[in-house]
Amino acid sequence: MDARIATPSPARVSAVARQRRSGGAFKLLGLVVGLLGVAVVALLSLRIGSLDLSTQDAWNAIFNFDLGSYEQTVVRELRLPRTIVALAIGASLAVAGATMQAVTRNPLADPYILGVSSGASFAIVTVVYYGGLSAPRHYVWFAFAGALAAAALVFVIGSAGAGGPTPVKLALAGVVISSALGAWTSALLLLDEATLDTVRFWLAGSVVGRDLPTFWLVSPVLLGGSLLCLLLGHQLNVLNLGEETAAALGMHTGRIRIVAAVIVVLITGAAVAVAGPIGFVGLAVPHMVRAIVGVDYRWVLPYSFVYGAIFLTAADIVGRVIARPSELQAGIVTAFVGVPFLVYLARRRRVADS
Amino acid sequence: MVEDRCPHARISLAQSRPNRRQFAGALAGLLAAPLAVAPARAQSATPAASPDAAGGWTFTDDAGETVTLATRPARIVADLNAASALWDFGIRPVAVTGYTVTTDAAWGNVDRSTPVINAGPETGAPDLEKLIALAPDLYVTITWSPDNRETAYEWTFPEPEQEALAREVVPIIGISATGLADVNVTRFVELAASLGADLSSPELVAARDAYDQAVAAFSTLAAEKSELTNLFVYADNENEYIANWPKWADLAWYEALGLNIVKPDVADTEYWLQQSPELAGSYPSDLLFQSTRMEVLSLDELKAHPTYGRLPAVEAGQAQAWNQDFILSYQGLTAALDTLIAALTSAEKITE
Repeated sequence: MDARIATPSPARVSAVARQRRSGGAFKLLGLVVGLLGVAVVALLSLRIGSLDLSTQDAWNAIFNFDLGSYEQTVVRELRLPRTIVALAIGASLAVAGATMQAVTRNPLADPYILGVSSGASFAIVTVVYYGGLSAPRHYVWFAFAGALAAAALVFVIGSAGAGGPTPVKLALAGVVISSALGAWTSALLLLDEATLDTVRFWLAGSVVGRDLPTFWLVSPVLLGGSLLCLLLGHQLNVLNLGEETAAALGMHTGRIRIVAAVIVVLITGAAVAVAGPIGFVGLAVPHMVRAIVGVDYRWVLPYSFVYGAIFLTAADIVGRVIARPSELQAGIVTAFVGVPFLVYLARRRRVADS
Repeated sequence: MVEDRCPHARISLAQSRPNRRQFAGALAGLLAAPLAVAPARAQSATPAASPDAAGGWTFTDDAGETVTLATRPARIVADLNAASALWDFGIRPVAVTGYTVTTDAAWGNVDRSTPVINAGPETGAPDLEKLIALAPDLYVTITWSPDNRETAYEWTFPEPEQEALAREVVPIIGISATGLADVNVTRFVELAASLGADLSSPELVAARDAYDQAVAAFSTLAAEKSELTNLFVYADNENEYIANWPKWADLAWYEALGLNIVKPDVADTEYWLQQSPELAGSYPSDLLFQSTRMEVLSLDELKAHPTYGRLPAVEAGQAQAWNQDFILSYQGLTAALDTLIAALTSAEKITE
């Protein structure tokens, strides 16, 4: 067997040792700063936007709401929902992405790699086409179910044959299922333009104009799943030492992988059901976080949670001011920011360390 | 993408995203071109007892292209915005194409069972294979830039290559949809007459009379109610698009007849001012006209929206539908004027 798989690389050993020496204190500080950052960015998201208003208006909108004020209505009814959605979706997708990268040991993995996004899209389009549903709160549960079903299908296909569900087989199965479901979805949209008009808004993936009651329905899954992921830090560390090493240390790698993957699918399915497929957060934020905090998943996961929330909300804020008087979607801003950062990381070869 | 939400022309969208469907269509056209070259006019419609049929047919469209045929075209395929106009003159296209096929209001009086032969959901170009199978004599569309030959047919053919391929199959005519609607409708009258419409038939005479009466009634009413401001929008959850009336043939015509339309703060070359829903309150008006396109908020959803619902016109129940795919026939414009007349008659001044 290749010695690199059986034993941790010298680089990894020194990286872990370096972490122990640099101390958890700085990391804890970084996390606290991040939490403060979440509060700051949330307040900024209420304060900043296409409409100019004062901090007093933003404050009153939350604590002293005057129904007659136009500015306060904008803050409370337009900016507050999108802030909440952006924070929650950003946090959950980042944690899900980090977990998925650990489970599949693939630095280019994002939460959608198991066909979750295409499953949700397919379910929504099918239900709208055949069932004539049009309101988000009606089809969100179908999106969730579709996401889970697609992931289950990917798992079944990826487990076929000798060797069980290895990361490579799962990734390949994910590509296959995503392509197949994507083809079916496109076929339905080609057949019926009215369906396209209904789901077009959802398919784009956005934190704007999302149904807040729908969000509250799935938020327990989002937050509960993220918290469960945060508890998996130690296991993911051991998993990343390599298949043989982890088995030698007494870990049931297959079981851990399945548990982690199921949690990721639940989180991602819920996120996609609410906000549509928002890309890039799950892929880029874990890498950004690893550049600061190293490869220890006990820190990477909480940092991803916190800084993922900041990332998406900040992207949403930037999108509001950069193209006045219209707005740029958060997904576009995240790509603009994330791509150069990933290029920088790749050139520094930090990506390989994960 | 922001471009995806551009409501008026999918021109910019289609230009930046040639898709596989268009490529397949182009390939099909390329393979079928030899067939199209061979004269295949044997199955023209039964020769009508009309003097035009014998002497050849010619028409110069608004982009300056002249089409000359041996006999008057009988089988016509049209973009829906042109088909809805031609239908009212008694011309019956055998198939329609266009982005607006999903919008009920754009169909006008066209029979809904008329086949739609779009090459795909994000394009108004016809599927070339289906076009060839229909063996049409003429394709009629509208043009938004009649003065610029390169972009004149963009509404249907975003790429010049698509237009060139389609021209191998069928001659193409474009009638202007810019400028003033009453001028454009006379061009449709000319086209319809040359296609064999009987302008002296009782229906068309009655339609013309109704149109003249509606214009007179509207002018009078608009003068009386000149203090009422009117706003024409395409409003959805992500963006509010306010129509820039000088660029719209119907709106510019209403304005010329005396309607007081709010002009958004945008360059004259733009069809819309695009802004965030947060800024909806910066354009208050006494009446609001919301586009009838499928993707926008319905009038009830407008009322429930945090910012649109606070617009004076929406709160006072003075929000109406606006067919942004105006129908350039006497019946179509009369219907549009009647809607405005009803709205203005019952409206009150509610803004300063």
